[in-house]
Amino acid sequence: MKTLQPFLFFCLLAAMLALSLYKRPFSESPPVTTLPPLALQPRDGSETVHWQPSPGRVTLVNFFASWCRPCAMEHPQLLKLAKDQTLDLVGIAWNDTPQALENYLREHGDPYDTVLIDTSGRSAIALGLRGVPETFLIAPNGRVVLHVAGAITPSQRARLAQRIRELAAP
Amino acid sequence: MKRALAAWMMIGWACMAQAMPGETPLPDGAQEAQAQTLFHDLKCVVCEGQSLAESHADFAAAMRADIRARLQAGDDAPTIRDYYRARYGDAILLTPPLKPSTAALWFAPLLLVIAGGALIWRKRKEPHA
Repeated sequence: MKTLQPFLFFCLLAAMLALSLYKRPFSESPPVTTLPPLALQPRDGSETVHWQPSPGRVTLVNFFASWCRPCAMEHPQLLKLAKDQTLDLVGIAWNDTPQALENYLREHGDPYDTVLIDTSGRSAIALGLRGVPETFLIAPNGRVVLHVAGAITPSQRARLAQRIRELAAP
Repeated sequence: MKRALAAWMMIGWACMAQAMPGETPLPDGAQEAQAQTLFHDLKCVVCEGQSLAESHADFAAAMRADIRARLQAGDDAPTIRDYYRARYGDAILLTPPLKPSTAALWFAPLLLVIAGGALIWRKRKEPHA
């Protein structure tokens, strides 16, 4: 038993560290539940608009960037989600330029109904973003109900699709 | 005495009010000093253990710009700190508050020192083989 003590102590420390590092990538408790005002630039680079989701529609807000590799990795999942006609898929490019954005969407396909650019990063901060990609699901009543930190995996896409169907059901 | 104090405060502000390269400090010195205090209080969310003041990450730069804009818009430092805490939790603070969920963070080092001391004391008390 005595020889096991250092090993058990190490296991305890490792478990504590793992718990502290544990992040909930697919969370039903997003950093914010009420959508803050978002000042964003349209993809053509024209004047800033105050974007709001369409009332009564399920909206998926995906923060991404043309220079972000995990964003390119999750892109096929977004293309699949975009097939759902009950969903408004909004892409918000963080720290990007209109030209780089157009090249990226031409290369990977454009799943978005609307694309906007967060030039100042203030909209990302208002939503408690920690990086890209991050995705927020907004219910028809405007509440933020789900948050995915990091690239959407195929299994997460299936769960998202299920949640979208539930929210869109009359 | 008052003049000396004011002079030291001005020197303090001047030392703190060093903006990152490419960033413009606020024209109001007192507001910039508040901004710098917040930059030292808040953590960069994409870096390991760096404050906003130290970080060169784009995300930290966006946060510094946001804080300056909020100060210019009339928000005070506690309001801005609360705004960031509401979004990023206590983890955004370089000095987290003492509460049940952070108690382990505050007392674990002390407990480890006590446990280590007790272990050494016990080893010394044991008769040598």
